[in-house]
Amino acid sequence: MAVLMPRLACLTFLVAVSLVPAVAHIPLSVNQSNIVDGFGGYGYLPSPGHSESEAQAASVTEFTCDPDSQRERISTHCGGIDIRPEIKTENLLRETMKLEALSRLQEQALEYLALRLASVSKKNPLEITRPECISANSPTWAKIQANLISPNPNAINYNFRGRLQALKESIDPKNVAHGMLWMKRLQVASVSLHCNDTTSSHYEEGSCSSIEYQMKRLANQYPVLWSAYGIESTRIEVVESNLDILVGMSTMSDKDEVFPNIATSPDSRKAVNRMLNKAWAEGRDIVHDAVTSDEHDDYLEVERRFDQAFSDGAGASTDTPMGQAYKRFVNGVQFAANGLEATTRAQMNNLCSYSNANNPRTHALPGLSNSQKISHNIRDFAANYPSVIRQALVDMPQTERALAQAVLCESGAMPKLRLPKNCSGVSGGPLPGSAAILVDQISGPDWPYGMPQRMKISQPTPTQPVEVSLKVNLVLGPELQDNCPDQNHDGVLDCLERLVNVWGSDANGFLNCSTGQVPSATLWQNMQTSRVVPCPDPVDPGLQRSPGVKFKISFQTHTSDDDVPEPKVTIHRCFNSSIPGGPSNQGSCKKVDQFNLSRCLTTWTIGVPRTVENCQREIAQRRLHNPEQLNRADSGNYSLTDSPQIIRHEILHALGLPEEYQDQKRPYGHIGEHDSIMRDGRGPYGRIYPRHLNQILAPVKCRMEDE
Amino acid sequence: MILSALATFSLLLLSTVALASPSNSTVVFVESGRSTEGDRHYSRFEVGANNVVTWETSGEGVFCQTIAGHFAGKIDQALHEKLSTLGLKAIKDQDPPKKSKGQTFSKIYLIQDGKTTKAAINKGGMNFDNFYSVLMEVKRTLKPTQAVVMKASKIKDDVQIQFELLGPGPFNLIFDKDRPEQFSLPQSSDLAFASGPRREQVTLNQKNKMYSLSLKGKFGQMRQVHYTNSNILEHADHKFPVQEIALCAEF
Repeated sequence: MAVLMPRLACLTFLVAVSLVPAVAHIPLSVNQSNIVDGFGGYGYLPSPGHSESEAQAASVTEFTCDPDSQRERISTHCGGIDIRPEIKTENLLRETMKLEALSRLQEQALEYLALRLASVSKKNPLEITRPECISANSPTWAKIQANLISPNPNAINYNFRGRLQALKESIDPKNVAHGMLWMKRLQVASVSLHCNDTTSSHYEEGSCSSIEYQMKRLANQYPVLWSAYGIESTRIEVVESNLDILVGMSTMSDKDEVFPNIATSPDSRKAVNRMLNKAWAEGRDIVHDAVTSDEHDDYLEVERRFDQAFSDGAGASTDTPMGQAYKRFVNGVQFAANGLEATTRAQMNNLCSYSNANNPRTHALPGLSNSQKISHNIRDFAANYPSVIRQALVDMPQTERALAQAVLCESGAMPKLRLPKNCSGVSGGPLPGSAAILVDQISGPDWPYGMPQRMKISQPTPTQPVEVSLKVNLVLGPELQDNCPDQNHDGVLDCLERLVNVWGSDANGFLNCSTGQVPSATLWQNMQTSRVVPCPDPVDPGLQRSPGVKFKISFQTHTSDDDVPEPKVTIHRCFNSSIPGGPSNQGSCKKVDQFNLSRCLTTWTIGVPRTVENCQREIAQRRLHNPEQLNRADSGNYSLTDSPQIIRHEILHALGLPEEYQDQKRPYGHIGEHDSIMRDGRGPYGRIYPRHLNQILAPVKCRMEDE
Repeated sequence: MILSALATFSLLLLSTVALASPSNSTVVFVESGRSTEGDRHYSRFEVGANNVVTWETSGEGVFCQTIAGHFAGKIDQALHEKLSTLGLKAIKDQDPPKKSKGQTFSKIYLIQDGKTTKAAINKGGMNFDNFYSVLMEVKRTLKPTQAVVMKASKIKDDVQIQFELLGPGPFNLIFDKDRPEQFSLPQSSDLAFASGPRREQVTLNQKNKMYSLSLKGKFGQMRQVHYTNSNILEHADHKFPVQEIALCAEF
């Protein structure tokens, strides 16, 4: 019956005799790297048959809900039938189809909840009661039985182990600590930016939508912590206070003092408790200072402090205050995990309420039809299980996904699922049209990071390519300012001519090759070596749009920094970012040499200690043959010898793309493929993916009607 | 009124005295940035309230960052106080923080009784130079606990790369067996493994102190090979902790 139902539902609106060829979907970009959402989420894990990068999978919800797309989805789901344009898609999505999609999502949620139970429950064998809305014959239930309840080593695990590992990581004490610290920081930022008051002058759309997205994502990753899931607040407080104790203890001079027989000696216990209380008060202050700081690096430092304390505590004897602090923290997390089991079972018991049009939530909504009530339930589901929906969309075959997308659109759930967007600072348009779209904002969905973004997107007529124009401003560093005229009066400062030519040819060549706008390009390995390369054939279909996307990256040079708009980069004769004291020190050739000399003499070495003479000789040789070795760039400052390949990455930031690597600064960002240029900015391997193009062109959607 | 003024003055004096020689304070110096090749650089130096010094670096060296890892040692109370005092003076010399576009920073933190005094080094100055000199002296006395050195040599047409454990260890390394993307040589192309890593996760320990592999390709004139694990850190099993490192070796 379940198999017949969709066909019956589709038959009710068969209207055409001839099938209209389906518009080719741009296939999801795939890679073989088997990247896992490694920090404890449930989502974006590889599905059988293909792999997704997390960054690619995160954009799985970035589809539009316009009527044409909706018709196409329903057509795809119903085997390619033609649907007349005048038929409203909301009339096509009957209750049965919505329930079909919802049923699939409920199965995915059951898998997630079952895995979560398996990660926290101590019951052996694991006890799970199948919710009544999940069929006993469902493949998901079969997998849960075979992998979790009565493990069968011969069963196909459908990446269960990878997903179970991800859930276990979400209750790992160190991960939980990081999650808690980051959530505190997000909460502080949300308040200081008045994110709950869009009318406030402090409100920043881009930052607030990024913060909200991160909070939701984090809450889904660390269910052990959040009262949204019904965990009693006392359990969260236990984790929090023990985290403070561990941080505070790390700064105390007597943390390693041995107190024999802590368990049995009241005096020892009293002394240690006194120290733990002191550590708690001090740790609370240290953490508070860090999470409320305007400087993101201060927050990162407290994460490091915690990591060091955690590591020291793990190795410390429990007869010491440090050892005791560690033990308390780990036990506190376990205490919270125990509470999670009860909550998870309650969620499982409640799972079927979403497919019940008359559950207590909707019962109180007067005047709604059953179909409308189901839509309401779907919106609730999206609010509570966004990661589950993303994973489901990644896992589903095309026809099933098409229905799910159509239903999510129709129910109004998409705003809860979209990646953060920032339309402030976007003007002009719509496209195609005579008015170009102008973007002037701080971009990037990964608060607190963001890049000043100033670019233009134009498409005068529907048949012309979309043109993305970006002007990068190059400013002379102090030591070039008096030595770099424009003697040939071509508008480009002479000392930067070569750099502008190389960087421009490389950046435009790389981008326009990628989108199929040119057949070949001159790409530069470094400032000396270039080669003409044919562009990839075929171009990734996801990058080759019709009528196409063309890039026009240009550079303008300035003698000084005064009133130079972003994006801007300062070019120095010499620059070494390791020199403390800011660009005036870092961009002085004399200071660069002094610094290199000092480092040569003083840096930790396993060899024979160096002398001034041989250090000076080495520096002089390098200045002659490999001056770039004496320099060290950062994102706002380069020297004349820097490779253009790094510039590609920076230009893409200026076009609106976030980083796609994870490190301590971005523990919760989306990871890209191995060869995503936003994951690994250097080297010749980096490429752009279709989602990058969508992100660059996202401002175009700002000028379209809201869904 | 005179009494209250005197009291205020005394308090001020006391606080100044207290700030002038902070004892039992934790001193932290952090440096973070990015190299020309795009490799991230991170160094964290801490003197704990118990005079124990720890130093973690993602890559250290003058022109080529050959070593990375964790180092430790202990200093005497006098040297600790000297660092704290110089650090505090350096902090007071700096200008208020301003938003800078570059990702590079160096920062001093002084933590005492839960209170954190800190500043990014945007102005430098004599006190900071002195602080930095003392810090480098202390660094040189530290012993590796879990560290690695990378070496390279040209063997016929290939470049052999060797990772060697420093200190008791262990030190975890991670490689992509199929792709040499974590390695790069300036001005070179068509890099491939001549003799690649046999496994992705390698632990250097007292029994296995060295690990080698080799690269082939078209090598340019700059005889330097770089290794970074930042782009494949996610491959590591979470029970296999890997420190982010960016190393360099000349051959």
